[in-house]
Amino acid sequence: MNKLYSFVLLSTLLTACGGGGSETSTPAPSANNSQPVNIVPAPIVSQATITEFSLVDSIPAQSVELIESAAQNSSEISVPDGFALNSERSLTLRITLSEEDNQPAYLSLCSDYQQLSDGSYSINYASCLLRTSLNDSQYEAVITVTNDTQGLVAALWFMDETKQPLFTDWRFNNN
Amino acid sequence: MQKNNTYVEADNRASLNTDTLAESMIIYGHGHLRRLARQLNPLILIALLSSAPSAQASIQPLLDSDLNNQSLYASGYITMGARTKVGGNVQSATAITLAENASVGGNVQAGTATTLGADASVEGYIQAGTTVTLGAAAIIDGSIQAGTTATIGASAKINGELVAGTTVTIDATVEVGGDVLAGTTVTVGAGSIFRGDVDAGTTTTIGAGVQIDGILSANSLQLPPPPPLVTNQEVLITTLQTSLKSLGTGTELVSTTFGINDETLEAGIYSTTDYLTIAGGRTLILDGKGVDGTWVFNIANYLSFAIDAKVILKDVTDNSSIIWNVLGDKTGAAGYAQLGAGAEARGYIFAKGFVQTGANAVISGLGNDCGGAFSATNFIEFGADSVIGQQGCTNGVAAALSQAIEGHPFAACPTDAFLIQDTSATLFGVQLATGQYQQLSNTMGTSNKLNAMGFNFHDQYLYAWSNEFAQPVRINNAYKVTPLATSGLPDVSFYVGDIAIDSNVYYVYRPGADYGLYAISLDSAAANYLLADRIIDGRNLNLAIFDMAFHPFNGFAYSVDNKGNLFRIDVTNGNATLLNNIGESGTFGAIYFDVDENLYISRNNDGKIFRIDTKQANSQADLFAYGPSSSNNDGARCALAPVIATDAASIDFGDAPASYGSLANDNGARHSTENNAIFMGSGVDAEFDSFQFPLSDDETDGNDDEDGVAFVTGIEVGNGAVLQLVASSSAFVNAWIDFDGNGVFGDDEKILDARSVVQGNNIISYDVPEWAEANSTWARFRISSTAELGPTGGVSDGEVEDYQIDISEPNVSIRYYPSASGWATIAFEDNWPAIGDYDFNDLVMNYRISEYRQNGQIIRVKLEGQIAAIGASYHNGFAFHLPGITRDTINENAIRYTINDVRQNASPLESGRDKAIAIITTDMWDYVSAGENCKYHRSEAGCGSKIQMRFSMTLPMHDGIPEQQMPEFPYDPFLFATEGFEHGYAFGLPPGRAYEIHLPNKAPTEAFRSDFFGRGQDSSEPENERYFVNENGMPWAINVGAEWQYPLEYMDVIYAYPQFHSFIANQGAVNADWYIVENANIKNVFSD
Repeated sequence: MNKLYSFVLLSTLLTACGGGGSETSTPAPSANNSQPVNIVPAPIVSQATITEFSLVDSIPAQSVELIESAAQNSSEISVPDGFALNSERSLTLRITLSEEDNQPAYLSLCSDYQQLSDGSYSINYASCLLRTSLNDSQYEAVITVTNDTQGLVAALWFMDETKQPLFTDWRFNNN
Repeated sequence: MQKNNTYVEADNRASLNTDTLAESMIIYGHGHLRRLARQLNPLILIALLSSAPSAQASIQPLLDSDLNNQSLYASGYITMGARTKVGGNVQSATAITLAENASVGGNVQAGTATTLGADASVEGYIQAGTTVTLGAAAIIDGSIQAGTTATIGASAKINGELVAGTTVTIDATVEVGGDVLAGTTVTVGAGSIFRGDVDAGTTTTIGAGVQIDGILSANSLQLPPPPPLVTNQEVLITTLQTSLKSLGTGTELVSTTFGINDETLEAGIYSTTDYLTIAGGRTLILDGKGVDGTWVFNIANYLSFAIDAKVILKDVTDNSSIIWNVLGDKTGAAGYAQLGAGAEARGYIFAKGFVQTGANAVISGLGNDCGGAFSATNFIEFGADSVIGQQGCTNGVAAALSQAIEGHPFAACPTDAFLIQDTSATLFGVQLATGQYQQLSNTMGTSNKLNAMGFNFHDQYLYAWSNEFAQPVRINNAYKVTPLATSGLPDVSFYVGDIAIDSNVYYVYRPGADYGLYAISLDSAAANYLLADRIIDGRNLNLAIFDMAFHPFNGFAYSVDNKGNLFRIDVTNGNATLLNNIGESGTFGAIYFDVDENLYISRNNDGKIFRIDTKQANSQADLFAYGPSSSNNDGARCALAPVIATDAASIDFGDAPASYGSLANDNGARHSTENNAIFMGSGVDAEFDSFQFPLSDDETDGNDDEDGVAFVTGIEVGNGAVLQLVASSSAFVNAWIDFDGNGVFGDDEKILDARSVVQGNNIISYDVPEWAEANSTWARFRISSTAELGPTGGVSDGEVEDYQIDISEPNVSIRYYPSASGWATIAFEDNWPAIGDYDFNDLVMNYRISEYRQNGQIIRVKLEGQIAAIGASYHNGFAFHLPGITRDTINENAIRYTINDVRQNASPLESGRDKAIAIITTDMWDYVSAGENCKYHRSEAGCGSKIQMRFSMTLPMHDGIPEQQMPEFPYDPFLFATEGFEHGYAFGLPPGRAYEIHLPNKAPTEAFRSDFFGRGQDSSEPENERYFVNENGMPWAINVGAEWQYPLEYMDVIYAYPQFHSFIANQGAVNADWYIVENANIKNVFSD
């Protein structure tokens, strides 16, 4: 058993689209240097759907002055007070289902995916960080995302197999 | 005396037809039945069929001509250097010349003159259109017939007649065994001896001391007829060459590169668009694999073996043939063949132009065959001391060609079964393991049914009963029948038969008082060869059976009648023993055995193949595969072969654990991949047998083909679920989930039953029953053109994909760290409280955490992991601490813990603690070993090994933990010292469980001895929640979110991951993913 990719035509999504947008992620904070910090950019796919997805840092990142490193070996490294070398951060996922979409559904938030040239998504469901049933119109979850994660895709499948699933993805700028 | 030659009777050729040639050439091109089945490309076949008539048309006259027994023929002259030996017959449309001491083992026929040097010899006869000239002391075993003059050197010896159209001139001391007959004069030197008559058309001149045993006569009218003229065979050879070319290009050998180095070729058709050269001293190995085969080389320009270039035969049978067809049809090409000095070729050379060798060259045939050379338009010249055919060899290119045309026995004990069907016999090859079948021939040389087929282990031919010929026929591996005139049989057709293993006897059976069981010897050396002997009449042996098969070892024949009764038949006396009923009924028209004593029976009406284990008492029929159905069916196979071939993988297997049926021996789910276009996802690959769990079809063979099904929703007890399945074409899918986790796919666990799917994406919903167990389990998906499939058994197309899946409670939310299938890594320096070398590989653990929430409470936690490395010699344990969670929150009795898939009986919850601490193991070294010549486990260069320890632990909660109380990922994984092992200078006694190393600023557990803080370089300040760091704040453990490629032994992490410092200095604001392999200095990190 290995990577499970699936393919969904984006065009089929459009049938589920209404108005509105999903521009709910935090805007990039300004920084003094060229290195943006913990930015969650706007979703690449901003399908105009009433159902809204957002993914934001649970603890907004602070901009810091970039420090050049000069240590020649690890014994010369001095760790800033209180820094525990964590390699993950918390993000908050919020989903608000539209009235039309407010029916039994299943959400997967996964890190290994591709958006193909035809707009469809190829998702490895073995790469998910979160899998959950959705039975309410409002959903919120805090998820732990490791720093190597390059992006996340939310796939919302309805238990009614005739209803087209919804997808939204976010790319991260790791630095 | 004319030397006897081996002629191939022309009337044997009469049955050849277009298809014979095409098929036989394909067969010998590949030389192997199973491969034939796979390689019968319709396009190639069409091409061959269209070309075959010309091949047939050209070979037929060749076989009728006097070329068919020649070893050498040239339309130009033939000369042989001194001491050159030719084993077979030699023919030239012009002159033939043998230098001194040269010899010909066969006959010599020249269109014009024949000239032998001193001491040259011919074992057969000499016929020359004009003169015959023998040097001194030449020896002719046969006769001489010259069109004009015969001139015999001194001391020559002729054992047969000497006939000349004009004069005979004989030097001194010549001996002639037969009559001497001249059209004009006879002149004899002194001291010659004549055993017969001497007769001259005009005058005789006899020297002194001549002895004539017969009558000396002159002015005779006994002018002998002229010798038969040698026909110029250019047209015939050219046509043959064209026909050989039309067999196809086969494998193209590139002129500029082939033969520069040593080469090996298996039997087949090969071609070049230019020349074919074997470089000096290089070898071309022809690997026959012990099976009769044919090599045909179609060469557009010239053939050249450089000095000492050699053809070497490896496992080439005597009945194989090798043909070098030098066409010279490339523009401007002469089409010659040249062998340098010392070069050695095998088989026959057909050249448009000349054939020429240096000294010490060799051309020889296979086995007792002479081999040889034919030039369509030009001369043949052999250098001194060359050898063309061994002495006493059997002449004739016809044998080599006819072997290619006639067909051979089958490859030794083929794995595939043979199935014969239809009223005009059609032969199929059947892969019993999957039921996959392919038509081998429907032009077998008979217009009616074949039946009662058996494979003869003794001569590797198939035999069957022919309705058309009303007698048995033999079937060669060109699938052509040869009728066998058999006496002693009633005038009726037989449809039950097989050939014994322990004797070369064909048994046929038909019920009825006038018929019965007959034994027919197939041993051509036996006195009763093809004499049928009735063992028992068909009233005393009265069975409703339709085929039978011989057991591989015990000598009995077995069959199943139409009611499913399994019989064992003693063919020596006709006694049949009813063993048991196998639980299936019907007309079982094709019955086979395998070497493991399994009996396979194929039911005519639905093609299902059942397996019966004859080693077991009361063995029941096990549905084994889905094969072809037919109203008329008979099967045969070599009972001594295993069912799964060992030469090439052609079956896709599942990889679920043994209880689900994955291995061939367990009748595992199997799909033939031959000519298969039905699969899920991106493709399907073949295995020899299942890479059964914990192996994996994808990971073990490195080809990720298990990719067709996505579980796009969770699988929750009592809820609906949706999956997505990608199909390569429209087909049927049958699928199962082991909902109750009992290790088998039950009938009520079939989620898709003959579900029809379309090409591309299929969204499919299914229900998870209320009785499903929330646990890890397996699913199996089978796609095929066959609608209804069970979870095991073989089928002729499609694919099986097995998935390990998780069933959860209803409405459960699962959070994974770092993801559902990814690894995080925790890496330790275990010198704490002393500062170590910062290679962070003293203990490296990969792990992931799955957290199951229901109604806002954590109901279960799953911890999985593996030991990635131990790069130090201290003995340590590893555990997960769940801060803030009390031990009694966990339902200890329901914990499931496995190490390397072995269930651990002892509870992993550390006893005597207030908080929940899950001990993975107390000494990691118990589970791993250092590599050969390695000090540690997977931390030194060149010390890679497979992962030796994997674990999986499920911790269910009694009542659930409110979300707010649950520690954050990754909880608190930590290292502790193994009891009884020392742990450095800071501790006088082995510190044991009281010693812990945690991630920075993670508090120790209650087992830790807090007075260890502050020793060595430790700079923990518990009062400030500062733990396990030195005065610089550097930790003894780091955690990263990926499967980390940790530093090599003694390699400071900063040299392996140059961004490490910048990441720390900027508190993670930059270089947050410093640990990914793209950011590594790759030569400083460990890799397998």
